[in-house]
Amino acid sequence: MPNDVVDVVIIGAGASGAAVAWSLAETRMRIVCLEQGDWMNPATYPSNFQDWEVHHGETSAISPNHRNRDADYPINDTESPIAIVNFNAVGGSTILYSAHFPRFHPSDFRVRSLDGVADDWPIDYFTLEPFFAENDRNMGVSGLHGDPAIPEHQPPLPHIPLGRMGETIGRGFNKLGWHWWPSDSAIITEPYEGRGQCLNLGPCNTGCAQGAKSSVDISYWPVAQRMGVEVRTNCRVNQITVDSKDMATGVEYWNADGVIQHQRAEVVIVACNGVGTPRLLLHSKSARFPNGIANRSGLVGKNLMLHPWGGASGLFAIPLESHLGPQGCCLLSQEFYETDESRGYVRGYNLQITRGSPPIATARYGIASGAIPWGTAHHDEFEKRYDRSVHIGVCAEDLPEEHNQVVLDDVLTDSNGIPAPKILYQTSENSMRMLAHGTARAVEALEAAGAIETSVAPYPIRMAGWHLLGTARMGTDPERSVVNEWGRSHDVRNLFIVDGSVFVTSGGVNPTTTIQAVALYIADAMKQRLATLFD
Amino acid sequence: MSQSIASDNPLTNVQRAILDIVLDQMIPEDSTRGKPSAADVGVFEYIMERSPESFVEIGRQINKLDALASSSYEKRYTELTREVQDETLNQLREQDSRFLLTLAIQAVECYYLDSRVMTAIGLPTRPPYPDGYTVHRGDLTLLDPVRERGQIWRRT
Repeated sequence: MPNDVVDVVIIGAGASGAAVAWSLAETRMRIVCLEQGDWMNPATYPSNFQDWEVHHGETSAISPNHRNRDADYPINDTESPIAIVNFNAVGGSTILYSAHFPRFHPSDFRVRSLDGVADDWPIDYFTLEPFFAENDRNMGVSGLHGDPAIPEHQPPLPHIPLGRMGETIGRGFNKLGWHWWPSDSAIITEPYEGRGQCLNLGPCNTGCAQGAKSSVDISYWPVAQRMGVEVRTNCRVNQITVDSKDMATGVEYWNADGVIQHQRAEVVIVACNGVGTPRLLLHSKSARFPNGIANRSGLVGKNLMLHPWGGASGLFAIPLESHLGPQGCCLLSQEFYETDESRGYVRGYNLQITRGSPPIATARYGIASGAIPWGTAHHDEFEKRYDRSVHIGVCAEDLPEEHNQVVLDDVLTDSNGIPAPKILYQTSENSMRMLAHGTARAVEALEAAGAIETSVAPYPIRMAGWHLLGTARMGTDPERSVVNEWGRSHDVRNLFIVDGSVFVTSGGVNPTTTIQAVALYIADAMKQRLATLFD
Repeated sequence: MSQSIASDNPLTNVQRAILDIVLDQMIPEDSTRGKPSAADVGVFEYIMERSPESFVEIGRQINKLDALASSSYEKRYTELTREVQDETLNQLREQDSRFLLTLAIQAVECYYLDSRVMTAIGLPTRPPYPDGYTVHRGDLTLLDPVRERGQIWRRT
């Protein structure tokens, strides 16, 4: 019977849900994962089609509000300068992510001790280190051993190609004496675990037709399913139910036929990331938890961190083949990752060097901005821009602030009538100073590499709220955190949270590998304590 | 514009003729590069297939061009010399930087999907998958200065 009591129900089949399912599967417990989206079909991804650039806009829009698929829920982000972007399917946002895969640094877990801001995490980098390595193996990560900006580690596969573009930019960083390195990438550069290697298709962020990008629908999930985990798709969870002893009893959800169900479970694991998780917790109201389940601290939804982004682009005099290769993965620089108070802000940022624009994007932007004119000059100006552009993104560490939060919208709902999340967010002065510094350094690097023309995008970039962190933070004090140091709710002893919402701080890098390492660490902590899990 | 508009043809014959002229003004042929005119790549059919509703606004803006030709020169836009057509078009674009921008965006989408254009800019005329592309792996000795500098991560 589908709704008999199961040992574990996991809500969400994205990056963290997949990792925790895989890890717990070895216990042979009965595990069910409920996912509001469906399995993706790689044959429909844009890179199967000659007009893939146009397909991108139509089928793979990054905002759920624009995409509006059945699996999506709307997000009211009108009171935030940064829009929320995500994807709902088996695989979650790893379907569309660029797979740039740097780890958090040891200092990211100690910002209070080191810099006197925010809070220290209750765990540290070295606690997570074996889980980073395990995640690299399970996902299939490519990289180059020996990066002096991060503790020693050995990615299982060789680095992605630099191309002429990467070499050109690397020379520029060398002129300045700044750090740079081929970025760890969740993209396989050699055949791996039955998957074919990267073909440099380009548009990783529209879904990988080759299956070389390590989205979790093709990395973790097939293995977890073979180990007995059941994935129920097109199942949207309404709320987590709770008994009079503050124990979760399961989840209420709509099944694929739109029929309301109650899945009873001994353990409930939430893996909906930094917006979906607080939305579900806040909506799970009961007599025991009138402000939402696991929310006696009042912190569910608060301390939202988004990574404000800036960026600069450069044009070069010679062709760089910059439109080829994994779009979001080439190099990174962590020269400015750590605090230097002389810069006028605390903490730091990652520079992510990405490939240039493909032809239609080059022409479309050029026409819209006026850089590429109408008339006979069109051809010359297009030629000057196409295949000669490079972009450097600035990913700024976002410090936790309680007023930045996810709440339930009073009016907007999804197709099942569940209140939509509403984002209340302001970019801090510290972040704005960091972005000013970062974009200026990005221009400096591009010029050192030989760029003949540079431009800086207005920041924070609006359509860039990928990294959703901090809204159910981890800690040892139940009054100052939502879950304990191994992911268990302080208030509900059989409720666990394993996604980016447990992050205490945001680091200054794309967080997926750290989210997954945390999920694997929490799963391991659960396995170590199976006999006393609810004590 | 007195001619009727059939449901499968959202522009009148005159509007279609002006559309072709405007497309050629946007991106004229470049025979040395082997690139055709934007009037010769099927922009009308492209828009019909993807967003035919765009023709309402495009038709309105084409009418503005024709009206300006009539009021300034007492001729249809199609009857003007190319030089005067350019002046007329530029006059409206200077007044409104978004004039015919929807058309321009869709025109470049269609243009850079044309096989002749893809070949001219060095792209194979096929989807990225399954053949993919080759990218130079890169010279890792460029990282020697970074390695020589040694560890920069902050100890805790």
